[in-house]
Amino acid sequence: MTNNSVDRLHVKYRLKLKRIVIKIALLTVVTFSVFILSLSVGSVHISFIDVLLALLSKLGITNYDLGSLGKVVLGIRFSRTMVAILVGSSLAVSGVLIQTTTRNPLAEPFLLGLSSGALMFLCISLIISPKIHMSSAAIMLISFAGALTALLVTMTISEFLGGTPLSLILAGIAVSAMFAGVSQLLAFIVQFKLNIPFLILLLGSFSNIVLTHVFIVSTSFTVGFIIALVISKKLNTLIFGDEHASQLGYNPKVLRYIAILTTSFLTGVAVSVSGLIGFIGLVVPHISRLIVGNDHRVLIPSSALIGGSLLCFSDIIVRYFSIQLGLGELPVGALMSIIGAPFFIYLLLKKMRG
Amino acid sequence: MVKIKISSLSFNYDSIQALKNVSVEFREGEMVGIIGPNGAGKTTLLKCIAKLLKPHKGVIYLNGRELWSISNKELAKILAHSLFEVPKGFNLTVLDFLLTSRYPYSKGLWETEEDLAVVEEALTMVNAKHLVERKMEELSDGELQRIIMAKLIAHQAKILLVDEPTVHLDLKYQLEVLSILRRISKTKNILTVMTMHDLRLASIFSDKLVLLHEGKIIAIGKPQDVLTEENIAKTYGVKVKILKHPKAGLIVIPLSTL
Repeated sequence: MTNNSVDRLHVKYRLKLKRIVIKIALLTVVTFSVFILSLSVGSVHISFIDVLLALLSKLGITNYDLGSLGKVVLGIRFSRTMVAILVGSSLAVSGVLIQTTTRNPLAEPFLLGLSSGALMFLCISLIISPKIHMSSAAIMLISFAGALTALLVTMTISEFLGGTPLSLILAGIAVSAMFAGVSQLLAFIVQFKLNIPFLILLLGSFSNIVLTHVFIVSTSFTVGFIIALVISKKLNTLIFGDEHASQLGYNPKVLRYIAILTTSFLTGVAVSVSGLIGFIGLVVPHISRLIVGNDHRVLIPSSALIGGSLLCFSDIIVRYFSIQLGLGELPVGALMSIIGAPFFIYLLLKKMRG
Repeated sequence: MVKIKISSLSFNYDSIQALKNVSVEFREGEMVGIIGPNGAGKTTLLKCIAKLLKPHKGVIYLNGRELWSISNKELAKILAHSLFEVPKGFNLTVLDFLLTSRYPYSKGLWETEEDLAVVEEALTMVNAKHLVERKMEELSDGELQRIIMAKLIAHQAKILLVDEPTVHLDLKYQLEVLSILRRISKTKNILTVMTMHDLRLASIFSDKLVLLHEGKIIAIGKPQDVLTEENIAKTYGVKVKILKHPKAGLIVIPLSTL
């Protein structure tokens, strides 16, 4: 029978939403597990139980003494882990926003030049005034401005190239290469001024993280994530075109500006603490769509969770192999490129053939 | 009561004048067909009525109020159109698309049971309930056109603006889509304005035809008054023979270009 109550649309929809809630709960559990794992793995091993007990006593629930070495190690690792998760989440949410506003499944903050733009602005300002890295607010503002500038340059060039999905990517790659080139020269100079190794700035790493960085990214992520959630329902209409969004009562231009500013802020600040980490904003939204579908109200939170756990897990792998090989810290950005670039090629193939 | 009054409307794309001094009135329950050769300004007129393009001269009144003084939010409950795009590579589903048409009415974050009932009824009306989980980019032209009709129904607007509802469709779907439009326009007393290429279908399904040529209105009125051999020669530049058929409308037979 077609009129069977199980066949009714609202029943099916309710069921679908219920499944999505369960999936997001599972993703939260995964993220938390990766968080605990990340606190445990390293040159000094701390068992899961110890990590959990230490966390609980930190919250005042139990009383457990990890010992002074354990406390120091856990403190450092906590900052590093939090930053890895928050940077991953920021980049993933940026990816969703930029893909939807450009209606381009290949768009990604790194490929569109936002990351290099932020890095270049940071390097320039550090050369002009090395004191700047003491001010969190200045760092956030400068990296935001850099990311935004790069994105606007990319979008302008893309318009001249005809505004197709591929022209956006090509313009982005060109802008990204240019800004990255300048950044490389500048970063080479900056390393002597700030005593941060050259490669860490360019390849992306979490090895020099301190508690201030946690503060910076948690602020930017909270702000960006809330804005993204507020516009999430409207984004569901924008993906079907400006004309569709405007007939439903929204202003597509305003919506796009908000999304572009949010993306630039999230990506810029992420780059300022972690260096260049690419492809996470490309891969995660696609994985997320496979799991929860296209509704931005659930796509954005699930992308944040997947992005956070994916980048944190990659950092665990990097740390593990760095210890095994005894060569010092490997850059996590390089690992992300190794995972992400083939995925990009796969999407390109699909695009060119379809 | 729904009424649109367009008074001496002009619109330019940069230096090209797309609409020149267009004045016309539409009212509820009417099926209006906008016809004319390529580049005559059919879609531009539709977009002006949809508040997507701001006219350079002239005014559009909706129930006596100036169109551009009505907020997008308010207009969203009165007017629906068929213009949208489906970006490839996102796997957007029919349900993703249809649910957005309920947004003007929703107060909370999520769709209510009623919203889903409206969407379901719309899908049933166009006989496309089985397509609800399908990906938009994988639909055939006929299926996509039916989904657009479902979207227009679910939107529950008083005015429907439909851009070329029969383009790319074979005979069966052409009739089906236009019959659906006529049914909703007559049963719900809706004003439907559609741009059309097929003159014979336009003559059957329109109460009123508007013939555009180079941005100007050449003729307005009942199909038999607008579709004359003289008017078509003047606008399309084609010599035609028009046959009247009691059931099949006006059959326009092209003989030669002028």
